[in-house]
Amino acid sequence: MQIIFYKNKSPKNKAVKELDQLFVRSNVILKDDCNMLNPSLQLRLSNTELDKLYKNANYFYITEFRRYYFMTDTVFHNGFVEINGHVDVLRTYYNRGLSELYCVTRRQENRYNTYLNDSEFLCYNSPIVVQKAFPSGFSSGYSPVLIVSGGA
Amino acid sequence: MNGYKWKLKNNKTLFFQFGNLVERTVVSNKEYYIDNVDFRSNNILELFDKLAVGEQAVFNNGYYFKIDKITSGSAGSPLHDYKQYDIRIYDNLGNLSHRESSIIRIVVYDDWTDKFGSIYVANNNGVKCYLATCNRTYYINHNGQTVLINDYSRNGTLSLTSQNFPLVLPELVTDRTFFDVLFLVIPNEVDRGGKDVGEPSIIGGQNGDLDDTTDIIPIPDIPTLSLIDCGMVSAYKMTASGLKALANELWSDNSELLENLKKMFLDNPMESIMSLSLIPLNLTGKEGTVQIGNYPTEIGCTVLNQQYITVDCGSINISLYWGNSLDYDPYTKFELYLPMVGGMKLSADEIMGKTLSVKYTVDIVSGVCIAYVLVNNSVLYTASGNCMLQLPITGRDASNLYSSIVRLGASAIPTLASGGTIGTGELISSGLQILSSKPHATHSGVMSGNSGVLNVKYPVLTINRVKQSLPENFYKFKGYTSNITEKIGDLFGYTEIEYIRLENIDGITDSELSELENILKTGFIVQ
Repeated sequence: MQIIFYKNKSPKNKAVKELDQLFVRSNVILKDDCNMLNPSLQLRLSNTELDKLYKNANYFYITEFRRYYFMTDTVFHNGFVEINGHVDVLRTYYNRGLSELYCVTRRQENRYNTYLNDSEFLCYNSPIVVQKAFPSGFSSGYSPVLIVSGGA
Repeated sequence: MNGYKWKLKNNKTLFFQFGNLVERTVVSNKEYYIDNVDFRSNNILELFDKLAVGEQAVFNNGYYFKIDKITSGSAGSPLHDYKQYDIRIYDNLGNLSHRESSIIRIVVYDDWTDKFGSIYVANNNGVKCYLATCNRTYYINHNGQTVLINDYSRNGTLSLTSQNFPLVLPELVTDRTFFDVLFLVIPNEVDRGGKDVGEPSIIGGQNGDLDDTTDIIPIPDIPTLSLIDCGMVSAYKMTASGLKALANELWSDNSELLENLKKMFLDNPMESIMSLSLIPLNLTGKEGTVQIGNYPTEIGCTVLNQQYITVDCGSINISLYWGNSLDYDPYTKFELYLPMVGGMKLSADEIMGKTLSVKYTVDIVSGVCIAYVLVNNSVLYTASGNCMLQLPITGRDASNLYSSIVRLGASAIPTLASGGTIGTGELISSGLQILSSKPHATHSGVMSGNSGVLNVKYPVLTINRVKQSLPENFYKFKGYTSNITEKIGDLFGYTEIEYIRLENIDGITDSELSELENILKTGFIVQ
């Protein structure tokens, strides 16, 4: 079983991740009773690999499973390293059909319409109050008007 | 796609939609099959479900049928469970209508797919007669796979060679005896109690004409015939010296004017003077002299020849402030002060982004004024008031005047409104709910007549808008509201998905699918 170790520099919830490949190991043994979604690897590493593992590795890919994994835990056992992981479904399936799917968005960073009501908006308790005067109106002066019967 | 629709008597519709008709040759016979079927036959299923043995239903051509026997069974698997109705059809004279057998058997297969229910008719001798489905071969889309359906009731086999029935397509059926009866008619409702109450649920909607054109409502024309034009009354704009001269004439002992008025108005000569008032308008007219009744005086004045005067207060533009939903009700509130009228609440939804204008029409005889509030040059709001400050001429006038002022003052005390319009609660967070439910103070009460002319003389719009707290780069962390259909691969940045059909994803397990759907809906960054 071939494992490729990476340093993942992207947020966990990003589909297209920025990955730095660290090293590749073949003939890796899976621990008994582990599954494809939460694998547990047992491998013996060189000092250089151990150094990379501890300093940078946080992500790996199992070629046979065709899946990317977050590294969740690392345990030492008498010269062996046990690495536990959990599948990154977002990265794994993005290029296996997910990116081609259409969806209806609820929130989006670039394709949005803020005239839809947004429950995330917060407001201060002090409102903005302004007054706008119309340019004209009734006269400030007065006309005395006499109304009489008949007349002219 | 070929579609067949039968309008039923109870306004229900029986609808069949077939896929492409495919021709093929089996042995030496030319045959057809239908590659996909959308068979919405719920109405027929409902119809038979409502009938019990012995009951009858009448067709709209006068024919009727009776349920002779109902049996249930299975043709080999749960998918092939069926219900079988044996019916007798009678013509409008009560004779058995079909010629080959006294019994028609209708078999309804359940649950082939969520859209498909197979119904066919066969008499008890196995003679061909058909209701709605093919007694032959269907290929239907069942759970994403093409499934072959055959006539199980015929001989219980799946063999194509055992099928000897023609197609269900109406134009290909030569013996239409039963079609004529069964397709073109539908029975009346049979009342067995426990009926659904209300209108049936039908397919429809989303078919409005989207006509959002609006008519411009202009200010009505001023009446062409006025009291002044009729000569019944006269209106004069007086000067201070003119008023003084008039007073001298009225109150002097040997006033020629008063003597003449007494001749015309025996009981009370002062009735000839209808009113003396101050109007906050710069009125114009011809220079002349005051004439009361038919008695001309030497008192100089401006003769007013217009009873109705238009006052244009101008316009202001109501521009967007935040450029989002906070610019509208209930988050932004408008109150318009109208001189001589008072305060008036305006709907932000109706005026935002538009031009607001105010115009008055004033009747200088009565002092009544109508304020027109125009939005984009169309009258949207109106209100009335009075702009005349009455000057008492006699003691009785003064008494009436002062009592009316007291009454007016009592009703003119500004009050707190019972609260601004509150929008639908779920639309906005608690912070906004608090703001939107704040009481909306009314800034002026009833403003008319004597109190109106002492107040501000031009309209004033008071705008009360919420102050948004928006952290820097908020959109990168949480995005903004969006409601568009888009391909995921074409999006950039933070995204939350409302709806998606997760399909055709290569090799994904069920638990992964659930986890993926949860991530997509709670928020992720595409690229």
